[in-house]
Amino acid sequence: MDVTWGAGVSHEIAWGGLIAIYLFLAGVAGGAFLTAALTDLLGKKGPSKVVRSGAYIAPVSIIIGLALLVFDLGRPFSFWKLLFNVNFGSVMSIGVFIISIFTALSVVYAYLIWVSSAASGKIHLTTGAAQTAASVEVRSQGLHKAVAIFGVVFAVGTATYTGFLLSAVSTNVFWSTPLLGIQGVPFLPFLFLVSALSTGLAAAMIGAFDSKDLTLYKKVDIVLIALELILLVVLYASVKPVFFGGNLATLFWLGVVLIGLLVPFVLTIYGVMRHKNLVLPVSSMVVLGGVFLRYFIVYAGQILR
Amino acid sequence: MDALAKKHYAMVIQVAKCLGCQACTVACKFQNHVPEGQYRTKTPVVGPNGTYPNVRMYFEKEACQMCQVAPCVQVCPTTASHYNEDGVVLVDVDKCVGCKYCMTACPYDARFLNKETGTADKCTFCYETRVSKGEKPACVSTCVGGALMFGDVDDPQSDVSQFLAKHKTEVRKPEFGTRPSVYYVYEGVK
Amino acid sequence: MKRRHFLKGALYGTGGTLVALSGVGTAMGPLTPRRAAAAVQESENTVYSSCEMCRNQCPVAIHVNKGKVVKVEGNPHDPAMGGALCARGQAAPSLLYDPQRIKKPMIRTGQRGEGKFKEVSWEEAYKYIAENLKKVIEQNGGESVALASRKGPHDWFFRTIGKAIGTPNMFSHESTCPMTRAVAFHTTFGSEGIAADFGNAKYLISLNRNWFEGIHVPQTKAVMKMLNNGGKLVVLDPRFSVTAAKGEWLPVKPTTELAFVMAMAQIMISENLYDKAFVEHYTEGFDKWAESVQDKTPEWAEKETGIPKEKIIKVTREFAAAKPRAILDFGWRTALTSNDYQLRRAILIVNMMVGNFEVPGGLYQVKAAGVLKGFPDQAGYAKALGGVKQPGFPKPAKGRIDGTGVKGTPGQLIPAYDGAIGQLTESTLTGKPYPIKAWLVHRFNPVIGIPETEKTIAAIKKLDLIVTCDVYMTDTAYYSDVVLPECTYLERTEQVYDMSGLTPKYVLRQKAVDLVYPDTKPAWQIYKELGEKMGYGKYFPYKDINDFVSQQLTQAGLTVDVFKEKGLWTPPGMKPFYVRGTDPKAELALLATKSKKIDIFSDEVQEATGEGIPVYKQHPQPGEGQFRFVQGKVAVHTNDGTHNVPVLNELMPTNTLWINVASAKKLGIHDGDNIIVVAGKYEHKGQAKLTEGIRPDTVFCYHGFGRISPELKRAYGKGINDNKLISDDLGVVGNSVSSMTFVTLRKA
Ligand SMILES: Nc1nc2c(c(=O)[nH]1)N[C@H]1C(S)=C(S)[C@@H](COP(=O)(O)OP(=O)(O)OC[C@H]3O[C@@H](n4cnc5c(=O)[nH]c(N)nc54)[C@H](O)[C@@H]3O)O[C@H]1N2
Ligand SMILES: Nc1nc2c(c(=O)[nH]1)N[C@H]1C(S)=C(S)[C@@H](COP(=O)(O)OP(=O)(O)OC[C@H]3O[C@@H](n4cnc5c(=O)[nH]c(N)nc54)[C@H](O)[C@@H]3O)O[C@H]1N2
Ligand code: SF4
Ligand code: SF4
Ligand code: SF4
Ligand code: SF4
Ligand code: SF4
Ligand SMILES: [Mo]
Repeated sequence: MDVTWGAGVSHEIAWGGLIAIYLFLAGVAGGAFLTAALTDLLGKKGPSKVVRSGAYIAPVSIIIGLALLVFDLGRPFSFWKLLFNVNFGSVMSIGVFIISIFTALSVVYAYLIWVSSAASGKIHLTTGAAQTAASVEVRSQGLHKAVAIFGVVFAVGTATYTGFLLSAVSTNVFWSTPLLGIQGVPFLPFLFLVSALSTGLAAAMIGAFDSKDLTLYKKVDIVLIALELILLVVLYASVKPVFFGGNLATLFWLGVVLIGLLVPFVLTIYGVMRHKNLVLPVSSMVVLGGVFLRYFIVYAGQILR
Repeated sequence: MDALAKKHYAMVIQVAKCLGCQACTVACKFQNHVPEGQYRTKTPVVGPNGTYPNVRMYFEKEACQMCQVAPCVQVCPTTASHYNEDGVVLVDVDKCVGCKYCMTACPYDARFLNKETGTADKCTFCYETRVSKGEKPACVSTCVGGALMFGDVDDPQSDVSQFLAKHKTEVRKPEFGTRPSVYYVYEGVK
Repeated sequence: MKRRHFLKGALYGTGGTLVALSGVGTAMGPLTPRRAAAAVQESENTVYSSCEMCRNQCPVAIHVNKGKVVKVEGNPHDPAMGGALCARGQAAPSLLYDPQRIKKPMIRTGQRGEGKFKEVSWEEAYKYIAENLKKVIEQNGGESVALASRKGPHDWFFRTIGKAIGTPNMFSHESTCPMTRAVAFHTTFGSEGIAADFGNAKYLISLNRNWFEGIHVPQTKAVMKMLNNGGKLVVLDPRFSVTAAKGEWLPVKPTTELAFVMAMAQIMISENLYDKAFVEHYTEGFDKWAESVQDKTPEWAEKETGIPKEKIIKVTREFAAAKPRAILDFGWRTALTSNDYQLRRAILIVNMMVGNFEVPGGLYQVKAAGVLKGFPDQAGYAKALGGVKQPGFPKPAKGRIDGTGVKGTPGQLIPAYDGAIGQLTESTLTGKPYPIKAWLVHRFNPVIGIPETEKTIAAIKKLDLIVTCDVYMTDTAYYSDVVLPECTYLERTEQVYDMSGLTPKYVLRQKAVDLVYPDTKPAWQIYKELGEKMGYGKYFPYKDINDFVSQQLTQAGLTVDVFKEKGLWTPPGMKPFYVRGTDPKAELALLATKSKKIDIFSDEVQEATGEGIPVYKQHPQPGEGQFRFVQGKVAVHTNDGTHNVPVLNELMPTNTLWINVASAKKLGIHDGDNIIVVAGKYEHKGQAKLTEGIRPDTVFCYHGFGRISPELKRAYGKGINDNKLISDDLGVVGNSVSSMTFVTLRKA
């Protein structure tokens, strides 16, 4: 301003880092759950290390995420009002229910996985506890499957919800960018779903990095990373280039693209071909890339309006 | 906006008459107990543009545009943001949890999180404190330049209706389809 | 409830109130329908009063809720206000409830300027002042005590002390403000009470008036009205002010305005555009003026002013065509150059050339009750206010230090009430023409308000005694021996104030709330009590302010009830009175000049300065690398008075130095750079603001920033104090000179 008085035009960033991390954690939770539950449902043997890792990461990460969300509220202690004042036209209002159900399912699922691990001796417990676990495990067979199946549905819901949350802001041209220009089909839910799967899978793998054969997961990961790269190319082509410049350029090009996607992509392929483990570095980078992606999307949408 | 709304309140801002004096800014703060460092309305300068000695500048009062299709109301998860019986967009502080979703949705940067209540806050057209008692909003009644007009556009006798019938007005960011109830007149400045 | 929270609320007044009353934090929020219903039931009453966020004293309506001021509005009963109020006026509760106000009398304990004070009782403060003043008077005579205040109703009480002491050295702020204009009014019309009917004009030229930032609500609204009715505004200003943005901007070379005015006269005479009949009938000495402007051609004026001659001709023709509803404005803060009074005289003469006196849309004499007496058909409308009769005061033993009133010298022209404040620091420092040993300061901040801050401080340091009465620990208070806390205008009643314009108008300031800080007092009480302590009790013959007010009103045939109801009084049924409104040849019975005519040539000015007709004088212009330094008002602050008021500080905590983009580029200065502004031996750090809205040879800043009292915690050290850079030069008629300082700039 050349005239120096008065309250300048301000441009508040409503949603900051906490929300970015929340969106990321919700994605990780969804992805990790899917990794675990799908392995669990489709695999033959009892809960593998990956299943356990995914099943435990999901509730922890969604609960931390929700805590951050609540903490970010202007009135954290009134969060319960979200459950009693419903607006069916609001993605957030619906999302609250999806996430709540998912959280409950993920907690139950983690417990059931813990129980069945205990029952199958994968966890060392006192004899008494192991017996109790075994009897619970027997009685909850049906429940286990149901929770896994419903959990899968709500995990997908949770992972995509984070995308819908942003894309529903129709006044935000960046967040509401449509997929390939198709009106009514938002882009972000797809990107966030793929990123959730990829980061959730990566997180689950970190928890099970010393497992012997993770090749299948690594191959899935390669596909997911490739998909995500394609989606980013689509995004780049659909919105104005300014969104990838300015202050956020480093975050996007270095953080999201290089650290989060290209390097892990190359390294995984290398790892798979050379039978090297490389899970820790690769998966960490994927997870980190997921954080960067959420930060980038959350901020780019608000800074450059 | 609620189709059954009894009235359609609107504000007209004649930009050429605005002095950027900020009387509205301060009046609003006291009328509505707006916390330190926060504002429901501001009147920033536009310009000066051009090169010496051919320069121009004007001021543009901004606040909630009272959208008839309000994105803030659409996204609000608690229905705290709502249209009241006279079509005015308000925030029910008892319902608001401070999630700030509405702030991300408002294309006019009209909202802020009130530091003292933790709830979303914005211009209310002074609905409860003045308009419902038959007074003009605080900013309108104090306006030194006489740039602001307020009234019911559904009432053909009102100043605003008669003014709108005769003048070319613009709304901000029409591309979002929000149908603001705040009309800008750029006669004499653009 | 957290204490911090409460204080924060208290900054805004109302927030604090609600919290204190309800005890729950959420009550501070916006009102929901449910809460609104509750709020309506709360008792709210309206007190009519007048604003004092600046000295314009605009009529206001103060809304009080449970003993707290919650909102202030323009008095709706005053058509000139129409409910409007400026940002500063709106900020009233922020001042009222500011915890940084001074709350108790204080006596200095450390060195001057060290900022060490102890809180004392009023009794102790009065005793200290009385004893030390007595000492000064005994040793150096009453004339060694000087009084300085911003002109206003408080003067009646404040100056009674000075008159009782017998000092001639009483100063107002006027020489920094409109004094040259007042001199011009007086020497042209015989009265200072001249005003302009902007609202009804069709053409208005400003030579250094900025109605939209130097705000006076009724005047600002009147100029807006003129614009809305299709009137034209031309603004000569070296920088692009808000006013310039609403009209045609002519970036005049400062100090050359008189050339523009003389060229206007030359054009009007050579093209026969002036009102001959008016000039012949009502004025004296026009031929001498015609002669002196004969060679002041547009070509010549273009060279002087930098304004293209075509522009000068066009504006003059349009101006003349709009006569008599054309006004060449006479300015308000008119302390620009050493011979500024001649610019003001020339402006008035050009106005008379379009015959705009006492007609709608022109100049007029203020129609106070005393003036109406001269017009039989108007005389019945109003009676003059009464006064409180005081016994005779001792006659000062010596003349004034500034030569005011000395016949045959320019001092003859200086209004005796005002004097030349710039001489006060000079005399205090040099002891010439005789020593000044004590200053009493009221509602005035010379350390920031008058040129050459360091000289002012040096003078203060030489004093035996300095007492300041203010609402804040201002920069002057900070260097004082005794600081007296006045309550704010919202907490006091004052005498009825005559604010007549085209009709008489009386305004009463009425106390809206009880003292927020119980140890503060109103001026009428402070000086009465101090006077009693000093044995001057007889000069304060009123019981309290209500007694004072009723003594005023009885004589005017009014009661206080009308003020309680509406806050102001104007004669019912009286229309705006223009003497020549219906009869262009009406007798101007109100002219108070000796000649009974409008003095284009003034014998008095001739006698005092030898230039009875304005004479053009070239002032130095900035050389290579130099800039002329000019200043001005900003809409959200008052002079040097509001920079620490919470909400106003929040809106504008600091100022910048405006520099033309091209000029700055040459110096490698970028927007927002820290810079050093150098004026001779003085330097000031500041921030550069690059703009296309200023002449390449001029820099500008808003006045009143760069505060040096650390007790002004919000404003301290922020921005540029212009007066640190401007030297204490006095103009011919004692005005402080503000537009003749050159500065150079460098990056910090
Ligand atoms: N908001 C607000 N309103 C106020 C005040 C305030 O502080 N703030 N103060 C009140 C008081 S005490 C007064 S006296 C009036 C003053 O009212 P004004 O006299 O109108 O105010 P200023 O801003 O001092 O000066 C007017 C213009 O003169 C320009 N100027 C400065 N130097 C020169 C020069 O040498 N030549 C020319 N041609 N122009 C020049 C400035 O850029 C400015 O735009 O305002 C009153 N109203
Ligand atoms: N360089 C430069 N110098 C200038 C100007 C400029 O533009 N440039 N402007 C000039 C002009 S136009 C003027 S009028 C002068 C003004 O100079 P000042 O008269 O000093 O300025 P004000 O801001 O009017 O207020 C003076 C003091 O009154 C105090 N005050 C406010 N309310 C009350 C009250 O109720 N009681 C008491 N006791 N004190 C109170 C304020 O705190 C402030 O300290 O400055 C002049 N100085
Ligand atoms: S301007 Fe913003 S806050 Fe106001 S109604 Fe429209 S979207 Fe809502
Ligand atoms: S902050 Fe309040 S008003 Fe805004 S969307 Fe959230 S709950 Fe609704
Ligand atoms: S209408 Fe009321 S709430 Fe809105 S900007 Fe004006 S004063 Fe503030
Ligand atoms: S009060 Fe009126 S003139 Fe002043 S800034 Fe506000 S809208 Fe503009
Ligand atoms: S001009 Fe503004 S600050 Fe000055 S008296 Fe009037 S309302 Fe108050
Ligand atoms: Mo002034």
